[in-house]
Amino acid sequence: MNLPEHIALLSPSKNAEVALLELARQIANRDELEIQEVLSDSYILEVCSREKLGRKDKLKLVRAKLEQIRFPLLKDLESRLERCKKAIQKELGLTLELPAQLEGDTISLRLKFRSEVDVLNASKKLGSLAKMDQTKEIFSILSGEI
Amino acid sequence: MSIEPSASIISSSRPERILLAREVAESVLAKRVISRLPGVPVELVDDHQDPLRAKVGNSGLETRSRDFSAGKKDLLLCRYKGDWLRACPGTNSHVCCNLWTVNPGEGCPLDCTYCYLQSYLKRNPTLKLYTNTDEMLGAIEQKVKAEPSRFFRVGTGEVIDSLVWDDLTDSTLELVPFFARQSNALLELKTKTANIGNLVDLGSRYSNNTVVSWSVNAKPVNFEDESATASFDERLLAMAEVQEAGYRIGLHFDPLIYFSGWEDGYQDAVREIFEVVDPDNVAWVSVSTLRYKPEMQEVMETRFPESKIPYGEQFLAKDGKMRYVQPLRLKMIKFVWHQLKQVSNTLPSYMCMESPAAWRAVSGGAPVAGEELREVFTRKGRLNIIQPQGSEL
Repeated sequence: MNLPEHIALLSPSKNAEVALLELARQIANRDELEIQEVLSDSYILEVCSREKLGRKDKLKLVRAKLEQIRFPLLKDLESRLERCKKAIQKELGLTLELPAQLEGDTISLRLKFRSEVDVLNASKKLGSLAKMDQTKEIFSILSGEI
Repeated sequence: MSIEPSASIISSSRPERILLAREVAESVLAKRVISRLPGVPVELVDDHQDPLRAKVGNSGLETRSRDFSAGKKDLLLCRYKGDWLRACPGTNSHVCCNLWTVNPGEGCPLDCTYCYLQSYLKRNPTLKLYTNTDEMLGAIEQKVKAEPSRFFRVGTGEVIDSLVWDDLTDSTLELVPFFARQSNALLELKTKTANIGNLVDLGSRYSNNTVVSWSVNAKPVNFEDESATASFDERLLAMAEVQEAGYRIGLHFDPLIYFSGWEDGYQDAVREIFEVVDPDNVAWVSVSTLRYKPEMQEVMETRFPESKIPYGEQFLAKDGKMRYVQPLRLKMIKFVWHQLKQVSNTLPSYMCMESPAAWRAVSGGAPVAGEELREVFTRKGRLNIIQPQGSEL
């Protein structure tokens, strides 16, 4: 099986080609489509035809789209969690670490202090963190409330 | 509704050839099995080892898959020479239910698409029945009697369906009365068949220490991915008969499979089961989701190209098995758990091979050995097993 011309023109490496074809094959088998149909998804065609986008960026978007089609739930959860993390980072300057591969129910946070004032400020931030909707959403997702 | 309980199962499970190890040619069990498979050719072999073992050893995927399928056509009758009673291996960093296993044979003719035996027995794909069951019973008795303060929940359904060959072997006619005599051991027969004739014949005289368990799934999964097993409805009828005969029932909602409409599918399954089964007569219910070794992904795709299971949202989890992403796993388990608890809040439910995090999310904590789960998780302490009325023990 070869890549269709609009993707082949992006000159993916051999590894990238194998990965794209494997994703497309699995989607095709699941959805009872031809592999070429999967790789000619309208979004993929549109990405490949963008004039202002570089070859590597196009390939990145094509792969992300295929992964999104292959693992819709996982990708949706990842993007929801990422949005929550970003909102928390923006609001409180705290960077949460989620369990690897979402396996587990514990999130981590590393804090550094240079004074007791820092400790006090951090405790206030933690108080705010506990009240944020995004925090609640993270724990909900990790516990299967999706 | 009336069915011949085991008719469909016997026909689909009939081997095409019997391989008879020379050293067991005169055994009672071998003669019995051969006599009940008239017309099936018998070939004497010198070795008790799996005849496909050497061939499969270094072969590639396609050959392995083909040989695994080929192994389902032969039935090797031989002696078992290893340790009979073993602790279930469980899985790394997951909560284990302390089951002991004993295997009166190996391999399963039912060939469900998601069956873990496709990787677990990849080097030993030939179906086997062990003829030295007297030694098996002896080994169990020795172990159980040597540790009288320990409780043994013993399952025969780890690498073989407990009942799939029972119409050929009559093994339950030995096992069930044997366990009925034990004071600190319980037998779990785990099946996807309706092959319950012997159990019903034995009836309540010996049923006190035997739990008859069914692996159950939503009907679409049963239809698409368990095509050689008893249908969901056939299993329900078998449950009703076995319950009527005095046995307690076990249920294994395992593996839960994600598919479009899964919630309705599992809700219906729970509802229909408990229209037949008395919740007070349920010994335990386990719930868990799909899991398999990564190498099985391609084997499934090769052997069952129609199955959609390989294309679910599973990924390599930290225990080295392909699993659904944890939030989805928990959602599915919680859903079924909730359905079960709606039937009866005291239904003894547990999760098989799930993480401590899953226990916290689903049941609010680690599996504390509450009274209803005592039989599952207890390691020590003699159980007060109730002798049924009319027991001849």
